[in-house]
Amino acid sequence: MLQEMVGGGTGLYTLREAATYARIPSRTLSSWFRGDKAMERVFLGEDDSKIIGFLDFVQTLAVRNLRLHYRIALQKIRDAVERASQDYQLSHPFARRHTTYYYDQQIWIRLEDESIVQLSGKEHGQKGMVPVIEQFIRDISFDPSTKLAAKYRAFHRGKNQIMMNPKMRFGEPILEGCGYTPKALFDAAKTEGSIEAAAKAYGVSNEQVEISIEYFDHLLQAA
Amino acid sequence: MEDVAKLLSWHSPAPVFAHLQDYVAKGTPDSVWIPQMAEEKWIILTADRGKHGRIKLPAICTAYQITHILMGPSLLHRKQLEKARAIVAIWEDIAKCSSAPSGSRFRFTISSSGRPNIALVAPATI
Repeated sequence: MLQEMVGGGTGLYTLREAATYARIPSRTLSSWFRGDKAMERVFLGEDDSKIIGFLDFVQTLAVRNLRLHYRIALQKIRDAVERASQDYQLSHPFARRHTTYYYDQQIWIRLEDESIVQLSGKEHGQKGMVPVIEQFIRDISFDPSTKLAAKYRAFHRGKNQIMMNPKMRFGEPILEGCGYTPKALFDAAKTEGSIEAAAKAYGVSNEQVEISIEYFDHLLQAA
Repeated sequence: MEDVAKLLSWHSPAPVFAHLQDYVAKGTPDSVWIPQMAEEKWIILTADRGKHGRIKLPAICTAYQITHILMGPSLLHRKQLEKARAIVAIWEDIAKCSSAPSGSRFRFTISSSGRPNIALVAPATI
């Protein structure tokens, strides 16, 4: 499985790691993918998988948004994912360029090609729906051929960007331009004792160490 | 790392060093550099030791039969200079890891008195 994921450039995240990057409690994310005593899992996949790919990770960003800002029930989201797969043969609906609508207790999704798909409930053809604000989508680049998410800009300050690309370093966040992970530079700042010393030891700019520290602060705020 | 490489260039045969982030910065996808490393019998020295759910690189090394050395916490939390000194001090042992069966896993630690050590450990998978 690992070789397939590496060879296919699908990205590779342990559930705990994905939870950190998506700023979701680890137990919550685990229940979305594996279910627990209280609820069925939200995403379809291998029952006992401890690892997920980049598209699943992007979907967690969407579900986090729907849960956190709109309080949409997990049952609705689960139905939406299942219906997308079964009725529309649409895998990873939330990892596509889309607009989500929540109207009359149902989830709707408008894809890039302007088709609109009702992903939960029984009614069709509703008009006048207000879209869900999905800020994370502006940080996602889409593959024009597959129309699926290809890269995610996880954090940025000025010209420095932390990118997640499933084809590079298994989708781990990477500081663009130098190839180091923010974790490496964050740890370096701690062990070397200063931003300047870490920058010198790793041959990067002070700003690159600073953004790495800020990024970890940003992730840990949710922990 | 360039400085460590220069120092160890006196070793015979002179080792070849490469930073993983060089591959990443140049945009080489994982699907290319990982099988290439396995084929060319590289040894990976990594700080990714499987804590906090990050067990990808060690697990991938095992899956691709790449021999790898994981830095233990005793070494990880030391300054770059001390890490470099430990690598140079134990270079003969690091070089011997290349004769272990492909995919072997070693743990690289340093004692409180500053003595480095490398030991074979059982590989874990995810």
